[in-house]
Amino acid sequence: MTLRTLPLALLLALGASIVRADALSDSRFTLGAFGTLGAVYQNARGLAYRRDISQGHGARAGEVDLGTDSIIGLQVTGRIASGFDAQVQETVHRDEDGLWRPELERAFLRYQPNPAVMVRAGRIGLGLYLLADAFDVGYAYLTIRPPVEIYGLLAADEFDGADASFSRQIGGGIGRIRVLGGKWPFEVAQPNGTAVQIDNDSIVGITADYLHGDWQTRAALVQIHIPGGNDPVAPALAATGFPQAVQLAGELNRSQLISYGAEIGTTYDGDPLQAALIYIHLNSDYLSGPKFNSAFALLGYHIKQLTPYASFSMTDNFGPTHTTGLPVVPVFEPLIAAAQEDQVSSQTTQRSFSLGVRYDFAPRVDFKAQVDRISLHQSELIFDYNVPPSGHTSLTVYGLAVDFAF
Amino acid sequence: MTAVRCIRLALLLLLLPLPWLPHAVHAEDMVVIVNAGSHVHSLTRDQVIDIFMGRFRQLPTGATALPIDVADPAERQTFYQQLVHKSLAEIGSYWARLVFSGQATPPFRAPDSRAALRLVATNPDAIGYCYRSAVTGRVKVVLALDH
Repeated sequence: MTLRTLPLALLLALGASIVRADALSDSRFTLGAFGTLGAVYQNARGLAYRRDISQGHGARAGEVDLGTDSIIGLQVTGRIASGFDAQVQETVHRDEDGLWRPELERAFLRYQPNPAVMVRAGRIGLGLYLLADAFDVGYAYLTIRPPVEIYGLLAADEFDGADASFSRQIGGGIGRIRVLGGKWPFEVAQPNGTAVQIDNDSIVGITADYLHGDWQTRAALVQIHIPGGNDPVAPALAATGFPQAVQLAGELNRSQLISYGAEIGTTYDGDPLQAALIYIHLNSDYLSGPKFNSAFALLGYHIKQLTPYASFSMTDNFGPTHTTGLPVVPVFEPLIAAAQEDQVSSQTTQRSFSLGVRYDFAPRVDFKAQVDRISLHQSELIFDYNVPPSGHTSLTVYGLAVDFAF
Repeated sequence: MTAVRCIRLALLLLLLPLPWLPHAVHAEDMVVIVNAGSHVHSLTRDQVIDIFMGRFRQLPTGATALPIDVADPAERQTFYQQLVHKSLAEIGSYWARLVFSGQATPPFRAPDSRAALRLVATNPDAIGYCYRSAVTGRVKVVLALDH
């Protein structure tokens, strides 16, 4: 048994004694489960549609792909003492290598001395973006998947560290401040089947929420530090001796890479309307870092068990691509191309307009059908296997999904 | 039968209430109750929403509130419809987001309304709900909900 599968075995063992943890009962454990069986079909030849940048495989034209949205998860919560518990959550989904393997998604200790304070330490959900607190739980949100232009660019939904939340009543609602910090290991899958692994970066963030009635409003700030100095193209650029190439090499090979983001958004979850409006700005102080503005709008309308919805999401890259200054001769062409690719690899300009319907046909089970019309210029989300690359293009993605959560 | 009629019939069938869904919301008003000996005398609708929806579980006394749900879907549906105008599916979806992100736990679920009343009657910080006609002398009404 590997370390990777050990948590799943522990979960299953604990599941044998499923009971309820609550101050009103003597039980010590609670078991939860969620999952999605999703099918995706798209029509653009040479492109592979992915839900997020950690997925090593995507839905290719003419094939029904079951790996984009399908997932299963188990959660065990164990009460240790009054106000003190532990939680472990394991998921199985298609990973960076295209394999279905269990992954430890959450594993933390939680201490809540009173209703106003909560502290967690361990592997915790990032929970920065509104609606994406439970990114993998399809039953928790209206659409088949969170808008990929926003949430898909997050390579990992969890970090290893600690967070603390402080809540208080303000003007009839609840104000909540959350601070977080820790290591944020993640992998970004590449079209050639490899993955770039980042495991020594760190993240700090703060969110401020105000919840009142059917409304929730959030502002968030986050900063990500990645140790640099290992850019694969920089040494060759520096070795050319051309001043512009040397300068570019220095910029690409900085020792500390910092990205910082800001979010503001609001959601309305009422009767019969459900709506969300979110704006995100992400910038980096290094050339190959992500630099984009993203926005998302959602409108749903409950009609008994049916909820038709429409959404629009977009991300626009604003990062420039710097030239090497090298003469375009055969000996330099591969280096020029590599320097270009180095900078554009994290650039995404993509928009989606989606129409769908959610049908809650049984307790804690839903069925969803969704069509996405996507246009893109350059996308880190979609693998482009065309030669030459597609450039400006568009595709239509059809999705069906059944979600459950118990 | 024309295609249009078929589509209309299909849509009509989709919109029909399914047997498991407690659509026939009880006409009687629900009340929110606490222990008869509690120092809490009244709660606002916002305070009850904050407690039952896991936002902020503190009673005006400063004690941690222990909210109690009832397992019976019809009674639960009536309560949440009157409190937050949401169906049980919407409530389930809401809790899935909080539970699987490790933010909060849903209210304790009593097997039936008698058990819920008993829990409220024996726990000073418990808070529950029942139909107005079910209120006993061992509990105290702190909020009346309109249907």
